Amino acid sequence: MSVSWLHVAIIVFFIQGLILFAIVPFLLSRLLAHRVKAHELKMPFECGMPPHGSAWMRFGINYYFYALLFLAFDVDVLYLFPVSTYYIDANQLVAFIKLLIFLLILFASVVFFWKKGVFTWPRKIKM
Amino acid sequence: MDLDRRLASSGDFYSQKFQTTEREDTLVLNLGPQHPSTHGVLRILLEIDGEYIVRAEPVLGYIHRMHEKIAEVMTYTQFAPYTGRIDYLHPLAWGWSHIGAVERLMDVQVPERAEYIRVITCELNRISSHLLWWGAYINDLGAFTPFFYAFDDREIISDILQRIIGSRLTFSFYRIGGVATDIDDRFVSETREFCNRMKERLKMYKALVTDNFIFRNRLEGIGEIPFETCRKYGATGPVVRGSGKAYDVRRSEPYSIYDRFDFEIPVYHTCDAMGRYLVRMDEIRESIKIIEQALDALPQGECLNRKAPKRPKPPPNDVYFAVEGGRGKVGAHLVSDGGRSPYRLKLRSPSYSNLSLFSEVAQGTLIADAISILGSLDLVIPEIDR
Amino acid sequence: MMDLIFFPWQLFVIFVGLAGVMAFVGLNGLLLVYLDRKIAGFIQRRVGPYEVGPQGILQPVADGLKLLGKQIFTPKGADPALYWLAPMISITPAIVVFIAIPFGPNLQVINTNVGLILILAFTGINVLALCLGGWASQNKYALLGAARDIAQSVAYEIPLLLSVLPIIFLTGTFNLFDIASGQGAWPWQWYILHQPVAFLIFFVCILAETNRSPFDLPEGESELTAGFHTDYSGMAFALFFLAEYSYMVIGSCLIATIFLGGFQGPIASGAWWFLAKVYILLLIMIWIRWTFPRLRFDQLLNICWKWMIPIAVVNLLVTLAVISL
Repeated sequence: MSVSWLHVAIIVFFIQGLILFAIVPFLLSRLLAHRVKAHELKMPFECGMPPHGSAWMRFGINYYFYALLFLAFDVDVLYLFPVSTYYIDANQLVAFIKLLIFLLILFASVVFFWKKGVFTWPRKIKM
Repeated sequence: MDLDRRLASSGDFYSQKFQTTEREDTLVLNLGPQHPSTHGVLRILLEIDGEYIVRAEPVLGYIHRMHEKIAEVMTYTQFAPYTGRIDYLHPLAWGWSHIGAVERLMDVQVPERAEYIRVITCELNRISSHLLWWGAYINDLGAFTPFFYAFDDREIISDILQRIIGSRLTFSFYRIGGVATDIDDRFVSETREFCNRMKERLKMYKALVTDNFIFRNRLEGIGEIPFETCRKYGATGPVVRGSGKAYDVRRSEPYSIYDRFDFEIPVYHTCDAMGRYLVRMDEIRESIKIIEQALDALPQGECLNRKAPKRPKPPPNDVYFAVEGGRGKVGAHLVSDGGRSPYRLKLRSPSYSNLSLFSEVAQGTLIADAISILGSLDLVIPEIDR
Repeated sequence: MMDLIFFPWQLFVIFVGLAGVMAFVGLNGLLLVYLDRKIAGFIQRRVGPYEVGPQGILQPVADGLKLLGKQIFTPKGADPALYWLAPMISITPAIVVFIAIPFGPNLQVINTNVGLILILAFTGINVLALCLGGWASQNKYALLGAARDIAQSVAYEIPLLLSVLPIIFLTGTFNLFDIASGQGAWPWQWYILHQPVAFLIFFVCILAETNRSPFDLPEGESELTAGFHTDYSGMAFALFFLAEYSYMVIGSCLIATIFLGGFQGPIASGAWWFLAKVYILLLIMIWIRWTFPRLRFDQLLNICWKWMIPIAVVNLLVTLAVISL
């Protein structure tokens, strides 16, 4: 594929942004800041007390549902993007029916999760 | 894995003693002494599963200053300024409980004018305590602005009281047999002006905060404390009045001249954080009523009983005196053995009893809800640790 | 490949645009910090920054110098590569996005046909940066903040896309310059009147994507003691901060371009109208921050999945129906 000015611009902006806004401040900080060496300095902050146990535990399952739902929706919306540029010139009624069916199936997944109770977090869980 | 063992820190004595339940994959988290919304140095050990709290346990003692032991070393009059430091939000209530206990022990008469001054200043202090609670609670919930509006009103109260008492936060005004200095006409007119201003401000606060739908969703249905739980732990004050029981020390065990005033005890039966919130807002309104009635009926006379002993040596006896503070029932149990200092002074702190129901109420709730419950209990940690 | 006559011109535009964008982002960072605190002061009945410079104008410069002087270190047990990568990933896409934004009739770095897709794609990288930052910190508060942030950001990405789609269906192009110049000069010709619901949903989603109050649970200041950036100090924290303000600016630029007519204005079209609209939107965002309390996390997600997405889908369907009739 051919290299267009857009690609050049993205790469130039990316590298320059990285250098100027990410690397230069860190270097300046390295130069200008103190270098205190103390053990307590590096302790992770847990309100003044040493933390109990590692922080790398597994997440709750409820976050997983939202990630799954997002995946479905995002791919669907991505399919809508190319359609959107052509829709104005398309065969109106047929295109509308197709898109209607597509969006309704998409929406049905939200309704499914809603009925399954993913969206209602219980106020108090039973022990 | 070796990496995990190397990285896992073992915490400190309390988190090791905090036994975990059989659930897997729970984190032990410190809502520790340095946290923006624990209102002081309170440490709560939480075991959380995702966003839900499985167990919660408060750890106290980070600001224990041995007030009760100091009382055994000081004389009765020397201990009076210390009561101002126990609860820095409603110090006049604690001062009243201590001085009232000494007066009851010695059977000292307090002149009428002094009683009225005590009532007016204590109710002004109650208003400023509830205002700060309001500002701090909404700050915890994420709205940073009402805090400053509340402090605007608190500044006026501090100015009014500073002219008479001398300090702006830790008041120590009551003496054995009356109050330290007399009030003048400027105090009366400023207080009346403040009462009128406060009535307008309460309307603004209601429109800005109480009727806000985001705020209502954060408060309604949160932290259901049924009355049985309150009774089990001895919770008093707005906590129990928000759970349906009209228990107020000013009505149940009347002290001083409160039986002469016409005021209501606000009671809500919803048992949730919204009930406690509305109880405190209504209490501000009732305090304004009491102050206005007291100002109208203020008699002339002296403000301190000249015959009251300044270095009392009470006979061996013990007495209990309780007042209604901003947080609940503030009590002082004074035991004297005939000497210049008490044999024992036990201070009953309302926040201690209110905090003890937290671990039962917060079990199974979201962390955000636990913060909301903690704020609605209106805790002042120095009063818990004394 | 490229014509030798045009070779210096576009490259020249790219480099001049680069300098302009860097200056714009940097100045905006300083300005927004100052505006945020000053407006907070006025809403809260106090003065805000007052001492440093006349009326506190040099306050953000003082803040920047202070943050430079703080020691940066890796916390014990943290993953150093991911820990340092997170702020860099957060700020760098914010610079790239400015390629496609039309500041004025002749002020756009590259006039591409995929400008909107570029912007939407690069702003989505922010989620990854916050997730890495929270995870790599070896800090339970940061972990909770990161988990909340991922769920919130991905949830609000959907209504964001769904509310931009009606405009694209109406105009048929992703080219931001064409969208901006397709609207007329007068306010009643802007797309906000064609799509008011989409405007509101888009605005709320921009607030949620940039973690601004009332959606600022990931950095919940009173609940999680600074959330995902608890363990970042000094310059690293400044980069997250700068990235958040830059994404706010980008969101405002998008709204101004798509719904409010971009650089078009009644009297004299030009870059000043664009900047005026962007700053008015930023002022509204700052105003909202200091007025409302925070939403609880499940209420936040419920608003997205139960209200915003259905309304956005219905809006899209209605738009499609209207187009085809």
